[in-house]
Amino acid sequence: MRGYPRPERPLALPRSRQAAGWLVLATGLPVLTSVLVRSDADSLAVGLLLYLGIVLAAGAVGGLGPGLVGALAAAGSANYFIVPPVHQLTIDKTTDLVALVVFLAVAITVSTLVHRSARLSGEAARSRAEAEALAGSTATLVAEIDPLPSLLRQLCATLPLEAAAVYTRTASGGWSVAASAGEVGPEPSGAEITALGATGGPVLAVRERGTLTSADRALLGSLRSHLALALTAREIQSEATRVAALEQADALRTAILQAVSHDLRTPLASIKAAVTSLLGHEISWDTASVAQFHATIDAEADRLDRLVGNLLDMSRLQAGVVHLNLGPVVLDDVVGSALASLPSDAAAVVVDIPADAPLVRADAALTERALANLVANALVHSPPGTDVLIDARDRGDTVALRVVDHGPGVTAADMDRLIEPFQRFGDTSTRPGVGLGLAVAHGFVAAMGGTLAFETTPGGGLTASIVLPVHRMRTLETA
Amino acid sequence: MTRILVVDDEARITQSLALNLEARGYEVTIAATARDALAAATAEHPDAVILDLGLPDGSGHDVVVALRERCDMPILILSVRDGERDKVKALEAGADDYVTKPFGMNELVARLRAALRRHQRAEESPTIVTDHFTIDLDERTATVGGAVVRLTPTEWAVLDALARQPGRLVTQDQVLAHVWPGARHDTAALRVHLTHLRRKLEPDPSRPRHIVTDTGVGYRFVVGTAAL
Repeated sequence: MRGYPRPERPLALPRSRQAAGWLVLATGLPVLTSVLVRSDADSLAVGLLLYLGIVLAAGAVGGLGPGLVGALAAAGSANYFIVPPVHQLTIDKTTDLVALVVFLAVAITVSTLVHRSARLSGEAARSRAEAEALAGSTATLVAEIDPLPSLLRQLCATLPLEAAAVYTRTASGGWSVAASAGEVGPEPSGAEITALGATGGPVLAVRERGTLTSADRALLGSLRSHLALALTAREIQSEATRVAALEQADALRTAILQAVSHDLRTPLASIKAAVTSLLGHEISWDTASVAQFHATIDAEADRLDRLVGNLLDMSRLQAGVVHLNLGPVVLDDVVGSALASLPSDAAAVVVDIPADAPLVRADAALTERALANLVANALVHSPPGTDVLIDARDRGDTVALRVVDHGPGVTAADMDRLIEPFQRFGDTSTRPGVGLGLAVAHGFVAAMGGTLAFETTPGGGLTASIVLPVHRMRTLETA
Repeated sequence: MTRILVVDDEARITQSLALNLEARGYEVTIAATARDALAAATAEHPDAVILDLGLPDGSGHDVVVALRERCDMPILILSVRDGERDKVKALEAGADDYVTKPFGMNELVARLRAALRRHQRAEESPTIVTDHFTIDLDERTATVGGAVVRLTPTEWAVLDALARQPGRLVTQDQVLAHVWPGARHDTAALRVHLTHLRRKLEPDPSRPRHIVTDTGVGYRFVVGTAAL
């Protein structure tokens, strides 16, 4: 760390203390002189010692000025009022002359010493306070992630400052407040504006409460370098955050690409394996095998089509170009067409829609896609031998079209993430679907003004509910 | 009877594979998870394994490692992952070949046969005869169209790493470790030696047929002209 610069001139005592010193002198000397004149005691020694006391007191309180003036005045008073011949500045006895000269020398010497010691202890206290301020600021710099605000608060507490702020240049050439303590304006203003680092870069602006001494300025200089460090630390921190965000986005993009490529290539692989089997000349297949290859090609082409459909739906939703055709929708119809769009192994679906289920106000095509995706998801996660149930719950103004499965279900924490695109829980790569199905279902239901809710099936599993408003028939206006 | 263990969780893929392999006279065991695969490998001692990398209960890479701990049958990876890192990782772990999905059934069967042949050949044959050149790896002689061709010791080492197991996909690191054991890997030098080898042996060095590069992964020595 940089050395703390010495002040360029000795520290002066505050004016109040100097005045007190003069006061001690101005009252003490006449009072003592009059007491000594009136008393009969004819002891110069006692008188001079008492004078010395007054001089030292004045010097200790008021510094060098009162001390030196006091020494001269006391010597003069003693000579004039006490040393015979009284009321004359002449001195009869040699011993008295010696006593007065020695008194003067002692008084001056002691006054000077008292003054210097007072000054040194003042400087020491000052240095200690400055060292403490610097140490505190260094500790803040090291300990805090963003030390800038704390440093500014410490600056205002250590120095007589009303407010302090660090400003940085914005891209458009204006200013922005990086951190502040006290009331500051949107642009650097105040008694003192100094650069932190290169010109044209960030600045420190402070508003003084009193006058800054040269020592205060020196301390401010040291603390300014701490502020510059704190600002750099903040820039590095924000850069690191930005890089981390970019890396995260990059990793997500890679994961999405991998998932999409996996899901596109898996059905393609089945199709290609079957087709190349049929094309090969090495083996003449029997009818059953040929039928099996054909069935594979058919089913996997459908699977590919559903995936491509979901990818297109997702991009339509994200581009906000979903066209709504809202009208009365019969739940039975939607369920029937949704099931028809699913592969034939959707036999494990049980439909339980009440005959008197109300019409809902929705887009039939979007509802069908949403429902088909929910059922497909439920089938994928249903263990063999368990059914997927589709039912409807009349809730007065709304109807909940529910898809109930008895699969492994999802944890409460994962429930919120279900509708995020490209989410897939459990194993990462082999479940069918990149996790677009539920996101598309949610997007379509939300576009129609409905809600898609998930809850845990009693006994385990996931229950998805498409909640849609009931379609109210206008009352027939017959005459 | 040659028994093939097919490990994949896509039922339609395993179904097609089983039909094809059985029609060609192999016995087929199917496993859909890593656990089933290891159990079947232990119980049935298959002669070769066709393995998908993305399994519901774990990574196929771990299956390769676990299989290699107990037996040395050929392992053929069949995966949608076409990244070089996945390929190299699987090959370094001990897989013999890597086929990416979607795949042609004939190619897969050809690769499987090549792997089985390599493995069943009790002793590695030092002599390799192609329709363009003949090499003897032990005698260190090479002739192209009857004329003797001189190869440097390093070129012989590179050729040895590849041609001892014709058809096998050898990663770049495996070649480097064979040619310069313990040395810092210098891929540029390896590429230079391969270029020289191709100039000396290949009928058309710009379109190599016998010393084939699998970009980013490694090299394969192909004896016949049939695409592998």
